[in-house]
Amino acid sequence: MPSVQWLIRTQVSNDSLKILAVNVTSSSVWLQNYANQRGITCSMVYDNQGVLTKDYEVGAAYGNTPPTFIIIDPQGIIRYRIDNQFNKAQEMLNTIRLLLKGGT
Amino acid sequence: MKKTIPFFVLLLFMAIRCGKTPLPLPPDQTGAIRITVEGAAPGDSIRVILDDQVAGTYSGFTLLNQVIVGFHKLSVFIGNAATPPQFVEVRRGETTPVTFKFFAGPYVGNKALLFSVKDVKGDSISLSKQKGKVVLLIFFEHT
Repeated sequence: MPSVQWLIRTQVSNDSLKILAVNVTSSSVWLQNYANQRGITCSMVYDNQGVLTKDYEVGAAYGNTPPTFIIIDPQGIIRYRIDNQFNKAQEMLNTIRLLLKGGT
Repeated sequence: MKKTIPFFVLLLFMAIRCGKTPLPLPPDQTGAIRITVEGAAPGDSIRVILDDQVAGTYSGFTLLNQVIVGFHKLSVFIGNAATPPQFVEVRRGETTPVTFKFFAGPYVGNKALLFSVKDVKGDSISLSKQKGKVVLLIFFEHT
């Protein structure tokens, strides 16, 4: 997760892309330390009630194992989703760039 | 002679009725359907299909009156997105409520569910405020 976040953040500016990292199994304090230690700059969310995880159907119960990456376009439509994959950073970067150009 | 009079009366009656507009449906043979759509943004209009016929285009929720009693298939289209059809039983003199949820699921092609959360720093983040930006949502586990 940190490498993905880093790769993408260095390539796309803050004005065009919002990155949210949601953690599903740990505590808020752990998450803060994790972010600080790795120099992660994106927003980290501790999904305490599991609401976000449930809304986005992440987890074994839905057959969608984390890490899950979801890209939402500026109009609010989900354009990309991948579950249980670690090496898709380049593909995600390409998708984000395409969406920012107004492509589909 | 007496037997043929009713027959002539019947013919006369039919001749007069022929060519008139259909009688309105009696109120005790129809019911209504009240349709509520969850998740449509303000300004979204919905198209309602009842038994494969377009019933109309509306904003927000709607009430269909004068629906003949029985089982009906009901679909709603919001923009280009179709929600799965529902089966409705319309009862005499009753209004049957039906709800359609616009969000078909958090997968490619569907509208993303709006959320409002706080990050570990205490800042509030909501999807509705990210207009004009691409959003990357990462769900990860304790590594």
